Amino acid sequence: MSENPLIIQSDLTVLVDVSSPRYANARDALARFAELVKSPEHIHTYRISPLSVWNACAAGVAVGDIVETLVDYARYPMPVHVATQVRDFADRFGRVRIERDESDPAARHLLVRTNDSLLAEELSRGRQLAPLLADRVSPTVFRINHADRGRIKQALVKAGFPAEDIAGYAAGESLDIALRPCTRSGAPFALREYQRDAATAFHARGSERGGSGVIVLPCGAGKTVVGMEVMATLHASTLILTTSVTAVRQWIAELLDKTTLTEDSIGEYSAHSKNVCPVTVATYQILTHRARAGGEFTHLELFDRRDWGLIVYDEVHLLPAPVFQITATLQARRRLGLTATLVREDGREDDVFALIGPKKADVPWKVLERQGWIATAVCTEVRVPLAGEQRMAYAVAEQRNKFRVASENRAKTQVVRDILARHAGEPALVIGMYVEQLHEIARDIGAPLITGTTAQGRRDDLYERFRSGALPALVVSKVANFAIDLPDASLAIQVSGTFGSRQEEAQRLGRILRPKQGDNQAHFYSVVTCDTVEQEFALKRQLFLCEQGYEYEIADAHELSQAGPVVER
Amino acid sequence: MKLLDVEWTSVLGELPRWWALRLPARRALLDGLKTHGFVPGQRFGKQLEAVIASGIAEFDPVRNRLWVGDAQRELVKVFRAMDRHRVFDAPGRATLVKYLEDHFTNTEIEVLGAGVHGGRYGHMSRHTLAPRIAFAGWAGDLLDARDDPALVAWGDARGWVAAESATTGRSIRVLRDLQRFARRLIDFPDGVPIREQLALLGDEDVAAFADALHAGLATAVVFVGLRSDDLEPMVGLWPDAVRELTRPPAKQPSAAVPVEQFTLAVNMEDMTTLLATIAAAPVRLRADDGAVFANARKVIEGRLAVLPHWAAHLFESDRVTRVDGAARDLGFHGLVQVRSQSGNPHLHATSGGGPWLALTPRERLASLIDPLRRSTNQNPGTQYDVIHAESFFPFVIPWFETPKSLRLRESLIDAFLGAARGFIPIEDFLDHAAREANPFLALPQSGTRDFHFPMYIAGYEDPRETLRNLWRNMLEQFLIVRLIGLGGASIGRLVNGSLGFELTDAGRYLLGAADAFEYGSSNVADVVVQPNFDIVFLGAAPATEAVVARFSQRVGSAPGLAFRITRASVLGAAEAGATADEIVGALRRASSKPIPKNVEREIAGWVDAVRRGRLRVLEVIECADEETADRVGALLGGGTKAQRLTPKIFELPAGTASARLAVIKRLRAGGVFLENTTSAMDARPARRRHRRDEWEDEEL
Repeated sequence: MSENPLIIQSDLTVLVDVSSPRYANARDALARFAELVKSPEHIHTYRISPLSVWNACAAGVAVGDIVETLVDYARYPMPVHVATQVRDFADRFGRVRIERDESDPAARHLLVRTNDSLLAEELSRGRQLAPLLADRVSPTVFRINHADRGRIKQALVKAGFPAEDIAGYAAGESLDIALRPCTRSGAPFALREYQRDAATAFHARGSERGGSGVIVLPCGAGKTVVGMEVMATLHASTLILTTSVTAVRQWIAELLDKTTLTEDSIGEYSAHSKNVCPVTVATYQILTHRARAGGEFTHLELFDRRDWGLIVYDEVHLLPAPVFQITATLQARRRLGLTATLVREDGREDDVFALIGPKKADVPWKVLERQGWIATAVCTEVRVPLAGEQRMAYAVAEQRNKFRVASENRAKTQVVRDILARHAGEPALVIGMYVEQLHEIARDIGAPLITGTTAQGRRDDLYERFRSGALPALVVSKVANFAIDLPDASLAIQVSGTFGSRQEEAQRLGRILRPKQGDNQAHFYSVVTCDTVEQEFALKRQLFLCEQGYEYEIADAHELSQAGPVVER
Repeated sequence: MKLLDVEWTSVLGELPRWWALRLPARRALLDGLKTHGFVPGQRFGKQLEAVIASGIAEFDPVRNRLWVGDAQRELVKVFRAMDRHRVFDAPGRATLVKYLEDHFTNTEIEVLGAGVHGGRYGHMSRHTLAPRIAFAGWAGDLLDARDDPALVAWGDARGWVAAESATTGRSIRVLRDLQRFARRLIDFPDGVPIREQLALLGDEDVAAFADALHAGLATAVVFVGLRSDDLEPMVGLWPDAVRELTRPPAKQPSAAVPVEQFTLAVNMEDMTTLLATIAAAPVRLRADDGAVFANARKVIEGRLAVLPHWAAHLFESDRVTRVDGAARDLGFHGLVQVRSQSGNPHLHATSGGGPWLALTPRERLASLIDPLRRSTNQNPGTQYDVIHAESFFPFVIPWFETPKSLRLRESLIDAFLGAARGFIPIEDFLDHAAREANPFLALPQSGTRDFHFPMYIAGYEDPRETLRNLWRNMLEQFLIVRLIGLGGASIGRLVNGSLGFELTDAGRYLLGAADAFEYGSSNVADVVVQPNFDIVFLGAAPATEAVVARFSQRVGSAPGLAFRITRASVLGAAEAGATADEIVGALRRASSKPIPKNVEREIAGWVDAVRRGRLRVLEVIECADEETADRVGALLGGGTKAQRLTPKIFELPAGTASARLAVIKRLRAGGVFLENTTSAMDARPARRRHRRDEWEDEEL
């Protein structure tokens, strides 16, 4: 038993000893029904929750397998109630199904079927469900309006009885699309095995059990390619939602580069353009835009503009609340969520489960890193004292302003230079929050600056030049956080950041975690003013990155200036 | 009407009148007829004719009224008496007490209870006699009497004398008849119609039957009453007693398969958790009762081993929490002691506590079990003895002396080792042992000088019941405290929801049936310090916990994520004098893997940032300007040891109120007047008697 890697705690967290000889097998088995919470160097933490067990059940994992896995790999006897709780969670899945009403060819109604009348009685009396389940066909069956499909699923998840939705989907408008064997630029192109597996898991051979769900892959693993493969499998018109105009254009570029689609079949729907085509790529922002507070979301009607066969939610963990609401009415459409993490800051993971679908594929980033698909990253926190002339300003500043004063430490500029010198020749991103500081750094190092006010055309041009190597460094503000693909940025220097948000860190690292030429190693530096509130907040970042499994070092600025160029490992 | 005053021969002869009535008429008769006086005929409605026909009541058709004649009066009274006490329908304690109240005088009750053990020493009332009558032994002793002398002794003990008999012979005959009668009644736990018993007799036997019935009523062995359904006169022994007497022997319990099971030396583990906490920082106790302070107790409870919900009640009660139990046990074993700290009692680890924590789990458990095993006492102490932690028995005998022939240790070991292998239902085990293998019941019941237990503990119960309960409670107590609590038995939840137990190796070791046992892991647990500052215990390591707890925050329990290093926790250790090297060194010794560099770096940074100062309360003289301060300095001179802190402020040394006043006086004399802004300055020295000339000096 002492070789076994799992320590199962009574609060359903599972600690995994990575040094155990059985670790890899245990991890693969555990990941089917538990969510990875943190993965620092030696002991990883997973959590079993109702949602994680339901995701497993939706993927066909039997509860007996789950308990057997825990028992088989446990280092100590499992707490007595864990098996009971897991069985209880699993028992709740599949007790309610949403099916087609065969007697209704117009498909205006669906059936909600329970596996026993007592459960039907209990559900029909639930405050949220009662009005939706008013039409009872038999002791165990209710007839519902198809438009309530999403709301019912949400309410059932909250009631603890997730529904298995096998009511099927509308086929949508047909679309002729296939992946190219070579990209438009002439490079060979083929799916990686894990991408194919993810797409296959989603599609489920076209059965009702497929067609809705979330693919979880680390940043840089090629979620866009998975989306395209799904589109090519379904051959249906597709609406793609993503987080920014830049990301929209990135998607369009990828679709043109790697599929047989042409320019006239892909449309951009954003603040700049309102083209609705068989494949339309839109931003969440435009969908949630309204002329005045409390007004209508006029662009949500995009969902009804075409007979979409597939809706892709890029970065689904950032789905805004109004989009959830409209998604609840789109349950007859196939829905694909793409994300690096199921964890949402607002805790609405159960809504993702109910309205987008269960997790269909999840590949740990360590696996992809080992296989060379994403770069390894070394994180270094460089501590620099506050510049002399700013110390008094910091001392007398109000508490809420201290962070900014510390963040805009002028001494950081030299540190940036020193880091760039250590990594001479490596494409570098300098990321920050305060535009004045970024202006100064950009001037100092002679690199262009991209902010929120930079015109889209100029932005695209600078990105292209950076990708091609014409620009060795770019200075970017928050705008670069989300969904931009800069494959050859192997160095990121963060000079200021918001208050340690997990999402921030994940995204910033995502900018550099792409397969690199050569040694496939990336470096992420945070420059922090020591003995200030910035250092206190940097501790949160440190904890997060360690928990994600990144190697984390701390160095003083003067050590860096004396060190030579980096020797890659 | 007292049933004991009834002439039963004639009443029995009149019963056919009653049997001729149907239920409605019987009811009407009971509700309507009075034993004296007239009753209007309308009261009986449709039943009037039947009542008249029965002959129980006389009827005046002219005035349409009924009355009970002398011949039938006693019969009616008997029925009304039997109707008042539904002995066979609701045979509860309250019914019996009411029955005794109605049919026995206080004197009769005292006489009846005089033979009860201890009854002669105190007042016997119907309340105290009722439980004794209700128990099986009251009738059981009659049924068990083997010969005439035993019958007579039984009758005498209950103060029964055949009032009409001048010879013992009739008494014996009546007692024999009563015994035969009682032996027939044993087959009827809910009573039997008197009619059926009479049907078994010839005419000449009715009188004997009546005598036996009377004797049975007078000794409260036999009861009569009307059955609710049909108001049929019934006779029988006390129902609960019959059920107890006819209960089949308890079967030897057989093994069952548990649905869930649990094995843990809970008491030892609780002691370990508490001691590890105390070793890190003493735990405060309540001054009034010595219990662990509520706040500390809540925190410690969060670290105790989680028990299955169906077993938790075995280890905790309303009076003693697990934490307090563990504290008591640690004290018993000399691992903690109470010392005052900041004026409050605290539990501190003794010099033996640390080494005990460093033992393996098996060694710690053995340190608790071995003294029990080695102890030589064959019986527990008696009621004034103290229970020692190293006593084999976690209980005492509630008597003044121990019977000489008692060997409870053997009996107890036999009971547990004799149980079938596998999980035995606990209730079945205790029931069987209490009834069929009870060392107390096997003791001689009389003639044993030292076999008497205090009446106030006996509570006027049936001794057999008391002894069954006593042995049962002892076995249960041993099972929970000495076996389950020390990992000597696994507990399981059976299919029907009841609990079962199975001896483990440790249990057999404790009982002397094995020479060794295993418990827990003997390997030193891996402890890992993570880059995210978590400290994960890959096994139980209480000694390491005690060390690590000094500079990290407890977030869970071992095995698992147990601690987290935080800035606050490191600063707390630094405040107590720890250096970064000491903290990192302790982590290196504890961790099986290298300490992450970022963790070392942060700890060093936090400790390096520590600065120390001193908080003092000063008395100062603040002067308006430097010139005044110069004058003050000159006036104070070197004698007062005042220190000039700034150009305008002097610090006065801590001193008495009179020294302060002396300073004030000196300054006043030099023309420097101080404004009183401190309450301390109100503390003037005690007044002394002034002489007239002194007053004059002060005024000037």
